[in-house]
Amino acid sequence: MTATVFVYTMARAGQPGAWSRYVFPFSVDAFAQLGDDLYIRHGDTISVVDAEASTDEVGGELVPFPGRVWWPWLDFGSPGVTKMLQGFDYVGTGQGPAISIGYDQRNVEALTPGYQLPDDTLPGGLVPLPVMAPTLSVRLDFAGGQKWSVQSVLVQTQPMRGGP
Amino acid sequence: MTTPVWQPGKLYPPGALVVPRTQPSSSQQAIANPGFEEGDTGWSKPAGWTIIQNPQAYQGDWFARYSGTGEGSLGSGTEFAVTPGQTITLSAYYRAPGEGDGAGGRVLLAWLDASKNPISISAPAANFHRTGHYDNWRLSSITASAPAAARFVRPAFSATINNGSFPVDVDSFSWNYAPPVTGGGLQYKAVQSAAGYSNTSEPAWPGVLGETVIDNEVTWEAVRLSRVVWEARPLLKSGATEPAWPAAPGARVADHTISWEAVSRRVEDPNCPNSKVTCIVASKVFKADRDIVRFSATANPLDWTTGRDAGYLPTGLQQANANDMAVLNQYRGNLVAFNASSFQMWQVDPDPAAMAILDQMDGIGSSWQRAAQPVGGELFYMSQQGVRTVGIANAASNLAAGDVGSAIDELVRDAMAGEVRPLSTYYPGAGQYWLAFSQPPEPEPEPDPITRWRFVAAGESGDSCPVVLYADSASKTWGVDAAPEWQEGFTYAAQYDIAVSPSGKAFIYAGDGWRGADTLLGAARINGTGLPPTRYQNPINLTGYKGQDCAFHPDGNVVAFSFHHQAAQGPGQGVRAYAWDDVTGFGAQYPTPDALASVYTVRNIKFAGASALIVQRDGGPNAADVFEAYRWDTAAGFGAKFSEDAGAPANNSNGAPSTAGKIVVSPTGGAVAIAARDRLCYALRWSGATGFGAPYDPPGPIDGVEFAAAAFSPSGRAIVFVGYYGTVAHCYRWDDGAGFGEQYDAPILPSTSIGQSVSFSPDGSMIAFTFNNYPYVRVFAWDDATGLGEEFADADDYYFGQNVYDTAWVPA
Repeated sequence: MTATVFVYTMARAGQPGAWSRYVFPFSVDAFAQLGDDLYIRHGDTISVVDAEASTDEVGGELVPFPGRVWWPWLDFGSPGVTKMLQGFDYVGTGQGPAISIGYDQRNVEALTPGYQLPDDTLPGGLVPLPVMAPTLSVRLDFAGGQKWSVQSVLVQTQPMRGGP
Repeated sequence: MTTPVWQPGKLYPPGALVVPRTQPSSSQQAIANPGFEEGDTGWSKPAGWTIIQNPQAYQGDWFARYSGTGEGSLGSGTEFAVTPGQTITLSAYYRAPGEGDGAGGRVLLAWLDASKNPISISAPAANFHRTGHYDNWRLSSITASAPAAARFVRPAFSATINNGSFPVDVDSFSWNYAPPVTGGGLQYKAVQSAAGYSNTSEPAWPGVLGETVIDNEVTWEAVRLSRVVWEARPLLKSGATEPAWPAAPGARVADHTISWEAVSRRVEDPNCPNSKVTCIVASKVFKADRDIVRFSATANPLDWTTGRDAGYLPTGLQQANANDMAVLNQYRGNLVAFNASSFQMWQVDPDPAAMAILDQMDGIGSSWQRAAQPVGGELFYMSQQGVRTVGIANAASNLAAGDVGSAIDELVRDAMAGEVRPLSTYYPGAGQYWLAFSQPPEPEPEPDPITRWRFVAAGESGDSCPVVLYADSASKTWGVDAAPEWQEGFTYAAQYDIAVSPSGKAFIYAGDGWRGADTLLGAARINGTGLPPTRYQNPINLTGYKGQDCAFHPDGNVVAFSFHHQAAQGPGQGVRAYAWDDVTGFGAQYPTPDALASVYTVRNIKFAGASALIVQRDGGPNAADVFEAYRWDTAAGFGAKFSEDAGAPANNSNGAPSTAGKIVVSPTGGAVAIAARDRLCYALRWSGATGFGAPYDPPGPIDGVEFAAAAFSPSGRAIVFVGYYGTVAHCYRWDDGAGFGEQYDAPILPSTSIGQSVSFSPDGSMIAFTFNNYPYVRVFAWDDATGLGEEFADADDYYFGQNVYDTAWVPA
């Protein structure tokens, strides 16, 4: 029994909010709120939502849960034109992610091997990572066990005009 | 402040208050021996008075008589405590038959002070009454109040005889005296003139208000301080046991001083639709009722009928489709109603007249009530496309436009697949909308059917048996799973009967003891597939015995064996039962009943359920066998024997002991069958409470066929007999109530060997027969519907050599 939970977090007024997706190893039978806390009943167990928690409790043991931020395949300019990804910068807080670049929108498994980043690469030059494709997708994988947040990912591309 | 308790040897000033350690004695209320029926007791008699027995008494047989001269008073032997002002009425019956005014009598109340010295007397005003005749008993009565100094009173009667010789008689005293309140509530006040010490022992506290008692240098007077004692007691109290609760609303049940009424937890108003599509807004409860939305009375969700308060919104009239309302929620104080394909927004108000539709739009719909949630100033809901909001969807007039949920539409649609029911909440503490899709658990895959079962064969060739065999219904073969591997020092010998423990971890056998003491019986562990069995330590070392039968208790914690005892050595124990453990093997032996210990042969023994044991024992030289059943208790062992005349089967008609056949009990425990060579198919009813019942009707004549053994199929719907010679199987449908049914159509296979045993695999898909000659074992497919099926091939051609007497299958 599992539950897929979509969480929409509201942002500042006038700004779009953000969706997160969680997969719980139990069914969500009921929500209830008391004060500022949100409780979830699953079977005979009640859990409380804790924004500070970075681990799951599984059978009495604390187990880190991984996180993933994944952008769709984006054109980064003229549709259908092959682009050259020259490099990127990542800005976040807490735990740094492993970055992968998707280069074939027909195959969600077609990504470059993960490259571990610190929490902020902005100081200094771009992190070079050459990839060529008409559309590119950026995926960040966090190992979990620590807090993390993503502020931005800056990519620099060069359109290969005249190419297929 | 609590009044101190009296202390010995303590200095008490005048006015000190104490409460006693021991309570004062209570006062007597009734006059002792008021009618003199107890004889001469309880009264103080001056000269001239006697208490006599005479039928002329006013009541009973006794009265008091005065025969003196002048006045004489008869007084009670007891003084009764009074309080000043207490009113008492005293009465007695008397007769004074003297002449003129020479004799008379009257009742008296003699008042006494605290020292019981006379103070005064209260008597009727006329001090001389004469009844004039012996038959005239008259009532003398006095009502008087105790004077100020009175502390005691003594009831009395005064008689006077001035002349003549006639006595005065009195009988049947009665009064309305009530003793002063004593005990609880009285305290004692020191009233002596100067401070003094109390005695070393507690005084005899007076129980009457105002009385005093001397306590060494202290004089205590009983006083009462105003005090109110409240006692709480329950008006309603339940009984000691829970009542039988009625299930019908309105029904009542008594429970000591409480009467309970069953009430429904549902809203019983017939106009309440009781649907789960619900919303509370404007002090009313709104519920979808097919294509309309009903609402309750204001602030009364039990009332869905009162006009101009409860009612319904005609939502079905505002849409161009036939869908029922599926979602109700509120949006900015208004009621929003969705069905699968349209949206409506209603202004709602406690006054139904103020309700009106504000907006309506087709093409925007939702069917998931629990996914809709007000979030800030918006209403999030779930459509077929994904999560949407009322504000943007209405503005765009469609669901495809960019809305908050558009980015995760594909993920949401994937999560919606199947029978999931979304559940949502708004979490203001984090400003989050949560939408959960719980996936039902994956169904457990059906386990592969077991096609391979193992069974253990016991036989006459000690070199080859017992052997663990297998039968495989998939390949239609049977063969050797594991040959025996006996420890050094153990002697091989024939085994006549074999039984596998309910756990399938061990088997026992009854063997031929002539080859050695350790061959009479034995037990071995059934190891893993292909691993040979290894034996347990034997519990006994006997010679001159021959094993006959063995059985496991259904709980697997007892084993029982039966024996044939060689006549030359005299009778011995025909049955032995031992505690059993699959790990350690044999345990302590249970005591054998005398009736079974003194017989030569007990041929068969089987447990019939957990609480009975059936035996077939030798009835003696040239006598019929006897079938008996004993009650069984695993803690105590053998119990009382079931009634012998309860239908136990007799033996062969020629009186010779039967040497064939095994007792088998049906899986449901309602029948016992025995395959006797000259009794053919024999079965009788069985009850764990009463033992053997009436025999079943036999299935019909079977000319020239003798039977060797029988077995019920695991379902209890079939019974199969193996022929003693010439045939393999006779198969009948079976029912514990009706007994033998029709014979299966399967052919009765011919055989040139003597049949020995028949047994079913635990799942009832196979059946094994054993014989005295090649082929020693034959295995067939079995189906309760069609009977005997295809015969399995012998994969190993294992050499048994001699008789295979029995088989027992290993449970799954």
